[in-house]
Amino acid sequence: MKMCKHYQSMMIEVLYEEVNSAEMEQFEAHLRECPACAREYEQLQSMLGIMHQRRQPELDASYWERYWERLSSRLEQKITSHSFLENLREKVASLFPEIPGWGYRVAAAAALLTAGIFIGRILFTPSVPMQTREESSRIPVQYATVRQEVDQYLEKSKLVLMGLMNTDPQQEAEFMENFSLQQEISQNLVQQSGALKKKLDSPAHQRLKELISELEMILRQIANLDKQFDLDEIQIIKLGVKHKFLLFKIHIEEMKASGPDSTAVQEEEEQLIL
Amino acid sequence: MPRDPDVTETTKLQQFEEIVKQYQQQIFRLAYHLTGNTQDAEDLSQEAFIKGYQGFDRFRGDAQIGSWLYRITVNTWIDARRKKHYTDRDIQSTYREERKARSEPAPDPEHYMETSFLQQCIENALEQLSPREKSVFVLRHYHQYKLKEIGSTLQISEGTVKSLLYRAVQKLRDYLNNYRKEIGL
Repeated sequence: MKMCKHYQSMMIEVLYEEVNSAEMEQFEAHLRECPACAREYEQLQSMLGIMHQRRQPELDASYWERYWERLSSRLEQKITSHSFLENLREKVASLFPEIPGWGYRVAAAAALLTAGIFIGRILFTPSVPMQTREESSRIPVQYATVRQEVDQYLEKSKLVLMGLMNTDPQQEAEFMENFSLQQEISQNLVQQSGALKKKLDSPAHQRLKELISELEMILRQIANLDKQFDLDEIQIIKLGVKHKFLLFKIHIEEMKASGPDSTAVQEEEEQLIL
Repeated sequence: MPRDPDVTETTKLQQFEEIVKQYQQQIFRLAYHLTGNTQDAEDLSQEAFIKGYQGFDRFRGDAQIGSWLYRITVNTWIDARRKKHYTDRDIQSTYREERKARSEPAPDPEHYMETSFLQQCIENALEQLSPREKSVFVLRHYHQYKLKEIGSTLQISEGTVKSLLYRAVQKLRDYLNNYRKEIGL
């Protein structure tokens, strides 16, 4: 009986031919003497034979020829979203080269905590006292108007750029139809850029002004494309958007604009007046 | 000299394309044996290649690329099973879908019933296994991996591989015993 247990546990290796010849001989000798183990072995052998009859995939050559094509389009989407985050991480790392691995985890925890406090302030702070509302209403109309113009400019630019980044001109016929509209919007935005930059002519708005200049350059490239443009030109523009982090910068500006802290707005407004 | 990220990415992509072309059929076959249908196999194999691409920079040359991709595929499948991403499909409707995709004519009804019953039994038997048991069984039975190779591919001990395989075989036998007459066991 004890020997049966030993040979039963060996059956898997025997069935899959993972025993040496000496072990095999011993096993066969046991089976000749033990009908119960011989039956068990036979059953397992025929069961594995049944499992070999499992249907196998039969796919023709064209399936394999197109496999990479299907995979690469999925990969491209992943790379685009991944490289954006990766570039951002590299940029942060280059700004703070001394930060060790754990530093990022601490930073992440701090960011989470800050976000928690931020959300908490929004959700659980009692409604803004009347006095503060009055204070904020004293923000000069001048800055509010400029800010509104900037927001609209950024919003429209974002839509044009996102339309460009998220569309594959090789696959979507609609792209060509919509592109003329995107060019028209780009042209209008380019025309607005100069005036807008003049209104932001204060050191406090240097970064915003730079962003508008960068956007102006890209939008001008879009607006100036010929009707018979080359797909490579689109690719170059896309790379420009990606490398300059334009969508990310717009997002940051949007976050600043929608932030609940009116102090920053007031500070900016004061500097604008000065 | 500063490296150009786009050039690096392009080179990496070209190298990876070669690897995919070399291993696509093997990885797809493994994915098929784990999921049981071509649709999920395509999804799983591509997901595994994408993970492979993302970890390509970290791939150490001391392991075989094939084993590395096999490990990614099995782990991706086990994770997906945990999240119940791949649901059990009605095997007969899967046949119909796949035959339609290959534009094959419908087989003789009697043969179809027999085959599909057997196939149904096999798939159901495999469903009795835990993801780890099934992975080990698939690698040994359909991919001729030695127990030692399974251990190094899945990064578990050979003893664990043996006991998982033993349990898998016992479960398969117990399940198929219920249909011994019908399937000629």
